[in-house]
Amino acid sequence: MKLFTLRQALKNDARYKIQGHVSWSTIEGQVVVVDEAEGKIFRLNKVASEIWKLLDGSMLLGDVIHEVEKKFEAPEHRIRKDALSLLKQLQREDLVREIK
Amino acid sequence: MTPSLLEECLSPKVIDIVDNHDEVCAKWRSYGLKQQVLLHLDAHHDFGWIANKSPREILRAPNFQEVEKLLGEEGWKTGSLTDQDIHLGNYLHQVFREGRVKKWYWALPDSLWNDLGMREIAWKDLLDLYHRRTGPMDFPEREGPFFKTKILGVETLVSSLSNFPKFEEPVLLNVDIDYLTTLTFNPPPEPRVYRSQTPWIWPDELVSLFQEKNVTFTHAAISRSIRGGFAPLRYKFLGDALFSLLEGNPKPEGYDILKDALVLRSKGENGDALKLLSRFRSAGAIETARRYFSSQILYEFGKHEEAREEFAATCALDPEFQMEYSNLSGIYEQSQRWNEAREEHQMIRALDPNSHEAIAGEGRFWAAQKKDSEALPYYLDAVKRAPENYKYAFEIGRVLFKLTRLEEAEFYFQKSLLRNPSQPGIYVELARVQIALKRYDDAKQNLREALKLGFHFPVTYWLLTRVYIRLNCVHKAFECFSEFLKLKFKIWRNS
Repeated sequence: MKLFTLRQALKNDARYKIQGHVSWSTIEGQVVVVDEAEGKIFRLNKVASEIWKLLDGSMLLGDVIHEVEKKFEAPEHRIRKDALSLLKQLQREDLVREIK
Repeated sequence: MTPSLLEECLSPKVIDIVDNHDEVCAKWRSYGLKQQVLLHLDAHHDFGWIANKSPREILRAPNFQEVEKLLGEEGWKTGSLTDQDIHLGNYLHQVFREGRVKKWYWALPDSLWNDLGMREIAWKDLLDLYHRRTGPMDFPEREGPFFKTKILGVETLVSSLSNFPKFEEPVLLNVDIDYLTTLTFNPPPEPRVYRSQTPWIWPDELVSLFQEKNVTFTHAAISRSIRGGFAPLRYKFLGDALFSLLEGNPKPEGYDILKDALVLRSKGENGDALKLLSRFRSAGAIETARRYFSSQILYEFGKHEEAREEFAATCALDPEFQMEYSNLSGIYEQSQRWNEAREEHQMIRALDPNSHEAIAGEGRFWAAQKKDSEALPYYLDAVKRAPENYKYAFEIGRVLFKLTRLEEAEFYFQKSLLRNPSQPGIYVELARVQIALKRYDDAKQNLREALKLGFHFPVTYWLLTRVYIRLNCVHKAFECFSEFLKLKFKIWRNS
């Protein structure tokens, strides 16, 4: 099941959405995420913050990576690696979900 | 104008009478009261700490320095804050936070303070407040006839009213009727004894004690505490009588006869008590009390028909008596004394055959005997009579679950939620059914909803552990299991 989730995450045409029990805001350019159900607080770095802001369920993962790539002028493979690692963690914490 | 009249005009008295004690919070706020000496006459301190900060507040911080500072503070809670966070067990914390009190005198009933065992319970209550504190509080000390501490900067003195020194300035008077009627913190003894118990102090005697202690006030509140279940409904008239006396009126008509009748009854002299009660002819403020007590005594004499008539007349005068008119059954249920609880329900049904409370009570009796099939028809009957009552649908759901009628159980839990979506326990029970139906995603959503509503109990985390295992979320399952163990250990340690 875990491998299946990873494979899914690798797909460019996956979409992700922030869960309803999560609130967030930007403080000093970085996103702070609050899981209200469990009372947990997360701080995202600048690249992760930009990815997070695009997770509204409307954009494909490939487009999200492309947008972030433009902002940070970093190689696409690097952004992709960071994005996939982030999404894996966010899903593990139940902060985002993949939209079928 | 005479000097006394002038004084009366300069310091008019405001007396409020409420049912649930926390209602005073809004009233005192509307009067703009500040820095008062609070004289709180109550069997309970009513000061529970309110975890008042939602993690969402973090998001309002302007910078990370502020975030760090906020995270270092205490009093965080998960889930969103609602009005239900302030209730009759903690409203005084809110009152203190708003700066309305500078000194707090908590007077326990003499019946509790003078009993060393009961006094220790009050001491433990204070220690418990200290250990659970989410704000500044000094370690309580015993000093002479007092317990002393300081809470949120408010000097706090606990004792019986007779031990307090004379009051030198007007107080904010806050009386709970359970102060007059509570004789013990323990569950009541056999019903007949409990029912015939009389208050340890009567309103007129309390007013005399106020005079002795030089208690004056500009604002006073009386809480009947009936719905909260702390004062029996039969003593509702005590609140009205105290209100009238504090307003400076003479004792209500018939007050002394009623008092004498109740004292006779406490001695088992029901015949004489009934004769005295019959002497009432005026439909005054305490007519309900007379009729109510008459119905009880007539019931005990086996005159059920007349008892029912008297009870119907009581309800016609005050429909509140139609609700669970004796909360004694609830107390017995809490202490799992099911046969005594059942006797209470049977009496209620003899007086009011339509009482859905009593019918559901019969259901609870059978459910407690693990005879769920016997319980079910009573719950179904109760929900038919009171379709808006979420508790009956909930009970039906539980019984159906135990009978492994899962789809029907789910239906009733959902029905219960429709009527009261803010009860976290229903989400947990619904999740339990959904786990049995192997609908793990639904179960997860409901358990998370329960957590959001503050239901942080081992059972929630245990069920979540099971759900996450089924969903192959090993990391989350492990986290929930750790939380389960932590809570379980805490409960075990506390017990």
